[in-house]
Amino acid sequence: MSSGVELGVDFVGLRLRNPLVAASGTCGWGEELERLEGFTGGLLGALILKSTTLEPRLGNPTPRIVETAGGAGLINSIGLENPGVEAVVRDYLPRLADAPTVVIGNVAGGVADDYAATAERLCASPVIQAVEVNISCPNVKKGGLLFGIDPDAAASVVAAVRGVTDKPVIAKLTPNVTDIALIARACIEAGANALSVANTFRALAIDVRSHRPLIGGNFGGLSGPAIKPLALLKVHETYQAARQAGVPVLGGGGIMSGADALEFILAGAAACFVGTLLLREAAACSRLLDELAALLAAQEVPRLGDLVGGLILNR
Amino acid sequence: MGHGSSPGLVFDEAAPLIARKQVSADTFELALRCPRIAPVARPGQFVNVMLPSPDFGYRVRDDAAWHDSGSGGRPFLIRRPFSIYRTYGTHETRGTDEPEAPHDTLVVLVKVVGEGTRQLVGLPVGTGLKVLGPLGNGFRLPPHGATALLVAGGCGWASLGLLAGELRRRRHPTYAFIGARTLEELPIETAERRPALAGGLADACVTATELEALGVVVGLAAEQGGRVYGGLVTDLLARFLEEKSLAAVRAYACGPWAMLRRVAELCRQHAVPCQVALEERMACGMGVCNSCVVEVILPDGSIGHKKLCTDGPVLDAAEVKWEY
Repeated sequence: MSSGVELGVDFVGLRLRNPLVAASGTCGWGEELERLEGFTGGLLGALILKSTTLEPRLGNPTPRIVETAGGAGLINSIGLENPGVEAVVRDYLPRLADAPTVVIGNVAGGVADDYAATAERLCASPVIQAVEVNISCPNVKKGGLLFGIDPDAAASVVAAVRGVTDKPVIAKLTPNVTDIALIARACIEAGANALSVANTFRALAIDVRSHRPLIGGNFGGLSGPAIKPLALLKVHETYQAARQAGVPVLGGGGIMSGADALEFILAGAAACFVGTLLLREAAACSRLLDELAALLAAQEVPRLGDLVGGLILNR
Repeated sequence: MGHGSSPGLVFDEAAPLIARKQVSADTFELALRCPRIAPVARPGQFVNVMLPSPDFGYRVRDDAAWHDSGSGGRPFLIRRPFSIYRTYGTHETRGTDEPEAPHDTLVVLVKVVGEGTRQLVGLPVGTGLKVLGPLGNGFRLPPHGATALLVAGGCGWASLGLLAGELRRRRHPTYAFIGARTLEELPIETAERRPALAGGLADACVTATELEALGVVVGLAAEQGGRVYGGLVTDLLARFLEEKSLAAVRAYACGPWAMLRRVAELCRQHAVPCQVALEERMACGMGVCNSCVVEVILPDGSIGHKKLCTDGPVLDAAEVKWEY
């Protein structure tokens, strides 16, 4: 990191040493990537654990991923595989007691009460400093995305989680809506402290020989550089809707470079998440931070936080 | 866990492609210089290879090789997993008293199955790749003195090459049954069919002949016949298990699902402990994304998942849920 530039940011009352946040589902239970030489969770401002549900889930059939033809996109359909909240609290959270970065939980469920019960168990752990509410998973039949496309349903889930914890609650929104501001406002009114924008875009890839989907669960969610311009606009629209309430946006989608991250900051993200990048090259986080610091230094901006929402629109 | 040892450090090396050799119609050996990974790689482990591609941001990488790679400009987002087929040292030792040179190079056996593998085998020698590894648990070696049976279908041999050498170093009687659809598709060189060597791999390649020189008894099968057994490789295994009755035998297999299911069935019938190296589409290789799961039967009879990247790729044949 080059000297003289402050990459640390404040986010929902937490101090993040830099704006990079590992997206849920791309950093496992916070310990797996520590085996990689050149990577440590300390390279991240925060990490968000895999979606956790009340009961264990096996997830969707394989193949669960496919790289999109033409490049730059990855479709996944994991289906919220996780061992259930009891096992997460018992087996994984204790190992994160000395985690080198801020740890944020993530909850999902079929009904609002399940979200609340799961969040209550997770947030009882001192390891968990905030909880993200996944109302946007495209790969489950019940709940998931269905909550995220309806303002009332989204609000009911957020309110249920709000009711069980005093820790910051972050609503993870789906980009698969026409008006994301509508959902954002509903979540804020229900007590969300921040908004994550966005989960994956619903997507399909077809094998032209077999005429079948290339994903075992038929449809999946698209991530990677292919979605970056789409996600940027969603982040900006959410920022516009949330700024009056003083609610920050955690923004991302296809970030692969420091310049990508800066775009999200300018669009209104207070911090930005990386996901597909971690699956490709986790050790690249240090390169991103170097690039980001160099960009700020070149523009003589002392603090990254000064650029949040700094997009200058044409008249 | 049962297999291999506890997971160790994983390296992400900038690895030049130092040699390439075609071994059959659609299969190539690629030698990658990986001085961190090669010395610690164990049989059955794998690497996750990133193809040369531009960074996806605006920044341009400095190293010219990354760009001038001839990859056709199609950026690949996710790495491709390959078994560590063989390792060797490229440095000369100073005298005959010197121990073997430390292994700094690993060889992967690549069968062209899609766009990623097609571009990978077309890269010119000298191209810089990024190689993540060693990954996975690897095979559990047999007890002292036991006989080892290696059963490979096509490119599945890639998972067993390193094991064959290790077994012979430990003086295990070793049999290798290798099958393919046609003689030409056998992923190894046979005495009758030895293409011109290229790229400095001459002293490092394992041919069927060289396997035999190692002391491995080799049985080849091609479904369409030819100068080898005409039929399935599992027929060779079945006949062996019927005819020989050995006290301590361990089987190791890699290949298509139907073949592995048959190997598992034969080994169960003959009470031979069997380990299989499995394949599934994979992304991170580090156990974070849950892409590469396979169904296993848990001790209580219920169905569970194992991640092939970290819980595998080697599983006990007895724990795999073979029927769907």
